[in-house]
Amino acid sequence: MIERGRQVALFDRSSRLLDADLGLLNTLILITSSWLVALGVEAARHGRRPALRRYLLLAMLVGGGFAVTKLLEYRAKITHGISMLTDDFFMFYFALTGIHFLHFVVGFGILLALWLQARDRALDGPFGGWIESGGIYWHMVDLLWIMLSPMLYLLGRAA
Amino acid sequence: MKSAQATMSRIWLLLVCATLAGWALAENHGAGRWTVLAVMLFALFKARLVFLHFMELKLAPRALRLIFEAWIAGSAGMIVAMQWLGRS
Repeated sequence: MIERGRQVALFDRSSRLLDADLGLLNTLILITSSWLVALGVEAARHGRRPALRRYLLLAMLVGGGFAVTKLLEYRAKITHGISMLTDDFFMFYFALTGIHFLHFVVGFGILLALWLQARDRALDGPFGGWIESGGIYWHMVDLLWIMLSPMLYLLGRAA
Repeated sequence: MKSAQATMSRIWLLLVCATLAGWALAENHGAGRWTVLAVMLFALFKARLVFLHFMELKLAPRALRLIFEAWIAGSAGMIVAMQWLGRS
């Protein structure tokens, strides 16, 4: 943000090259996936195994949309000759969204592991704690995006 | 169980509405500083909903909750301050 303060015009101009609709879509995907995980955690607390597995599967299906749109967005930028080296805005854009994407991939792996393990592990033992912890990690991925997306996609437009 | 699920669903609906509102504001208003402030207030509102309800920080000890509240408010405040200073 300090760099942005020094180069407001450049950051605004580059920010407008991003597709705000894709930013919106990705936010809706992540908050919906987060909600499904929260419903899954609630189901696990009440021992409702089929509901837990259904919510985790839905959370992965919806959440997977984030990877699709993000990769399409990266591809569109790169085919238009835009990369990390284009300017400071895109250096931050690729670094911040890239680090977030790594967290997303880890979170997706955690949901997959929980879904597989939820087939036969007791929900009221230590596994219950794993479900809650995995859920909190997934919400953190959502939370980071909630702060990143206005910063990258919206504030340049707001000028 | 049912009421907890209904609460989660209401939170999700609020998150969707705040997301759409922030996006529409940024797309349609070139109001500069005040739009920046409003967009970040929507983001802060959403971050708090996720923290308090999905991550269940509303059940955490008061001190822990205050630390996280200060952290997200500080992050949003810093983004707004930097934007305002850069545009002044």
